[in-house]
Amino acid sequence: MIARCLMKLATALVTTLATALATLVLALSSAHAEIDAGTLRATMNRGEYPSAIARAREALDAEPERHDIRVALGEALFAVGELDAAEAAFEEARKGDEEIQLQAMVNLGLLHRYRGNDDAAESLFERAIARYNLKPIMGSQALTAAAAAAAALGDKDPGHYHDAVRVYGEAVGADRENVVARVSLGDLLLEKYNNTEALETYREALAIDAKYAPALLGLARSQHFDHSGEAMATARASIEQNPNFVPARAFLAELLIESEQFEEAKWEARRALVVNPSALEALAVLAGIHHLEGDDESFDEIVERILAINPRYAELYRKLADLSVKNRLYEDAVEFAGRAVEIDPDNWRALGVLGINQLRIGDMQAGRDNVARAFEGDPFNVWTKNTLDLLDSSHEFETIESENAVVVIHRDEATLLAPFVEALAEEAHEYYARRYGFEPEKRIRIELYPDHRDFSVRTVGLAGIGILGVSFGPVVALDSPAARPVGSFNWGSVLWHEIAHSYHMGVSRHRVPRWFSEGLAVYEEQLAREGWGNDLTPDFLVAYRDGRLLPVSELNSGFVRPMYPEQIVHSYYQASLVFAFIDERWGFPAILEMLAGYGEGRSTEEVVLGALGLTMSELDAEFDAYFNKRFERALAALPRRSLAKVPIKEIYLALADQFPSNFELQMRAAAAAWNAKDTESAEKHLIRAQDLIPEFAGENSAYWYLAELYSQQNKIDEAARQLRRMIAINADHYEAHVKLAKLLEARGEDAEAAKILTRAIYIHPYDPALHMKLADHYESAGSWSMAARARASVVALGPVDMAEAHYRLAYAHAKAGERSAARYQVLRALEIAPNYYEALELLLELQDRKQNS
Amino acid sequence: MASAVAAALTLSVVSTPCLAAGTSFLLVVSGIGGEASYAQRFAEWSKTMIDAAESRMNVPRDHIVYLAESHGEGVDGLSTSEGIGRAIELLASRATPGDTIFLLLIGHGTARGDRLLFNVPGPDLSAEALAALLEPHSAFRWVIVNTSPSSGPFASVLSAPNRVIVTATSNATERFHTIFAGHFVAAYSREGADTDKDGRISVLEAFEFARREVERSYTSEARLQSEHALIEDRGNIARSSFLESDRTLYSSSLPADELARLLGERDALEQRIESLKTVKATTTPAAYDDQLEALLVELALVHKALRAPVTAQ
Repeated sequence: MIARCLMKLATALVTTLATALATLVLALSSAHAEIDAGTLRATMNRGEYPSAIARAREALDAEPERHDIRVALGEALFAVGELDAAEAAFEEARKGDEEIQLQAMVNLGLLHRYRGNDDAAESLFERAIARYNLKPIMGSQALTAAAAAAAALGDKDPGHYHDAVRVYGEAVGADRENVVARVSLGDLLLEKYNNTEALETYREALAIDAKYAPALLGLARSQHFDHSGEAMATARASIEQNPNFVPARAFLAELLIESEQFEEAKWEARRALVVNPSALEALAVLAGIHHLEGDDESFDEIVERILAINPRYAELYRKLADLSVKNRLYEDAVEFAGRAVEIDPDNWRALGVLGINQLRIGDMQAGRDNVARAFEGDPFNVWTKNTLDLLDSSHEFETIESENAVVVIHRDEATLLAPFVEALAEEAHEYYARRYGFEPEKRIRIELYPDHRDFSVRTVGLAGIGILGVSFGPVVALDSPAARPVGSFNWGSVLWHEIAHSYHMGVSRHRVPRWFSEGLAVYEEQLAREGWGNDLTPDFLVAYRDGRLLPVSELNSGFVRPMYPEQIVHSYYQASLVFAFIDERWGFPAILEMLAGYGEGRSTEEVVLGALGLTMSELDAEFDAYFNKRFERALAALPRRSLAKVPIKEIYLALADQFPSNFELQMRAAAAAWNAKDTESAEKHLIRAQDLIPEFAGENSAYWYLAELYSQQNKIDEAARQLRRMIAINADHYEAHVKLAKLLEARGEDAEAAKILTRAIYIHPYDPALHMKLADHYESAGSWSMAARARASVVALGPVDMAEAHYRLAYAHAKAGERSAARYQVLRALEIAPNYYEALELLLELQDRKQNS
Repeated sequence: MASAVAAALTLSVVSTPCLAAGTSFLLVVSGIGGEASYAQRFAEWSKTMIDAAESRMNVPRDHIVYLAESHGEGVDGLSTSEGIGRAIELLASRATPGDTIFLLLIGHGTARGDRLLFNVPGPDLSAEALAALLEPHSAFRWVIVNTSPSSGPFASVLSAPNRVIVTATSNATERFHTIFAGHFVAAYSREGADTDKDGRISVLEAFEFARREVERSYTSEARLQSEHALIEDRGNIARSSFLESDRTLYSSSLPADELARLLGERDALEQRIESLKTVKATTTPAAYDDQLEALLVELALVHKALRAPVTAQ
């Protein structure tokens, strides 16, 4: 048996340690009347291991037959990395009574596994289980050990996990206060993706002992599983209770890596290694940081240390793969997970990581095979299960290849959407390749999912992710417009954004930090089309004024550790402003230089200093000045505090007149006047509000209401002007586009109307009327190829009158000189409606053309 | 009042000649409106249907009877149960076996226990009473469209060979005001329902059109759909039941025998196309399209002949 899941084992060891220490306390209290059991237990839970070891040895010197104390001693030694001494203690403890023997065997097994002696470990676990089977009625601590043995064998046979859960239950039944059994059970449940029950189990343990560090760590992991921002604080709370709790420090280091705080992460890992220089999980995290920093020498040194302790430590590479994923280094993840599987082919988790990341970088067949094998080995893994389910539905998707992109799209949407996706992808490639001077090695694979759950599974393996798109570099996945309500996003803009990431990753060798790539991608959206990308909202300005926006130097935390619900959205827009500022002041080459700097392994401080000549604090100050200048008027228009809602129009009107520079008062007054049908006042205050913050063009902005008001007054030109300004900032508002197109048509501006309708396709492409109108415009202008494209969209949408849809498409093809396509479509029309006279006439005309050609 | 209805009907049909088989008749019954807004809506839908029948479907006015809850312009009589019975008798007396008689009920409906009622002035019209009125006239093809709430069970009560029953709801519990009638009428009065492009609106096309439009209407208004239309078509005749005559579509100056020959050819080609479609799955796409094209070209030439102005003999 090859080394497995050492993270779990380490936790098990430490929790078992606590049991042992409790035993130790009892032992000491009997051997040395002056030692108080409660005080000792509290001391050990605070991580004072050397003291515990010394007292245990002292007790054993006096009473060498106290094997229960010897077990505890071994575990304390194990916790501080004195592995040989720990092994000797466990071996000696096997001379104890049956229950002590069982505990000693399991601990010895865990130690062997920790060192890579898997066969020896497995044999001990099996003997421990046999011992339990012979005499299942035993004390709570022995039952906890038996359960740990079953859990350790679970990777070999998943049925053992069920046994482990059952025996942990027996241990809790034997002693309701056994927090070790409860936490170990929680860990097992969490590892098997049952976070609901895991969380409940940790809470039960904390209800018994609120200061129990392993329970707090379990809670932190559970919160992390749920993407909760509280995980870090809970991990710190665990460390507060036990400052020498190695697993908690290693976990905290991982969290810090996720938020790209590498220095802090390193400190935590090193702090753990002070307690236990052989702590594999802390060493693995440290290796991960060195890798992410591009420090190959230190990385190699740490790996060498790890392999000296356990030459078969596959978890090292599994951990490195996980950390690589969290830092968007998907190819590295594949390489590391591959190494883990090479060392331990039964490491199902590593195999799952390998498969899923192969899928992320577009290696579809190998990815599918590995995910399937991983699920077969560990049927509890919902991540691989969900991914397999998604892959099983791949026959519902079509693959359309163009020169620089491979579009994978659901068959129901393929005919409609693929031409638009393809065209946009090609445009993006041409633009980004030139702008970034980078050519991807292979065509970018673009996957669109009409069901958000599928997109979510593709992205994180679980349903429920709250984002619209993701870029893995060579592969981009996003929600298709069908996945969300109309107007909730502009899929064209999202696609442009995600493709931008692919280039940022390419140029920086996947080392660009999140804030940088997100901000730059939003900035690219804003440059690509009017209205694309995030835009200004009053609450963003309020957040700035109230000091809730982070300085540039800390902006990454706004993405990875948001402290208030809107912080991620605010951070996206703020980061885009950073790039608008840099581009304006230093030009785009400075941004390219920074990206290249990241690729060379430099930190943000270094690339900023190199490209902009500023320290981070100088950049913070300069950006702040830029921000204040850019939004000077809007910031001044914000109320000092939020106004209470008073349902009296006159009060608002009077206040709004008294404070004409107060944005909120103008909007409140406008709303009150609007509701009272006082259009004159509504218009006055809406215009004032708009003048104060003209960049705000959201759903409840003055633009929309003014357009409504002018439409009602039949002031077509003014209504159109408002809508034009609105969609130039906000490209997500479908109704604004449709309404503007209608107004433009009414003014005879058909070409402009067509342009607006084309924009609307990027928001909601599923309305046949929109494509029909577009087709009408193109036909009027004699643009028959474009008309054919619009008519093809109508056909793809399956309108009620399919015969006419096919006929109109056939007609457009015929006019565009595309006889073969025209014939195909007219036959489809007549197949439905054989007596369709106009279609029959077209068929005869096509016959004539054929004969004449 | 009842006698006035009878008089009005009698007066309007005095000079009606006997009609050839294959023609259509229409009886529109507008029930009690209750609130003015409903009464107005029912009247509008009724009149729109009659206008469409006359102007778009070329149904002669004397093939049409319009009954409403009160007298007014274009109203031939009152929509009492008695009036409905008399109108059915009247149209049946004018029609010849094989003709199609449309009965369109627009108004409110209720379900009282097991009794399903269409609300008219005086005693309501029950499904059973209507079935009894139709019973003697099985020689005709009947298209009965009940657009009232709770109308679903009418279908099973009235179901019979040579009858198509359309109801606005699928059961008696769908008892809120329905909008089906407006869309069913629109199928005849507006463009868009003739999905097989033969120039005529079959009952099936009208039903499908109305069903889809009802669904779209509820969806666009974000309302929970409270009516689900139903069609009962035992003889599979809804597809071939029309208000307008086939012959009105083509050159009126073609000699009758020539017209009949061309229509026969058209029908035969249609049959061959239908047969070809059944083997589509087992034919290569190219071969299928070639065969389909050949048949359609023939059909196109027949249509050209049907529409061609007749040259002087």
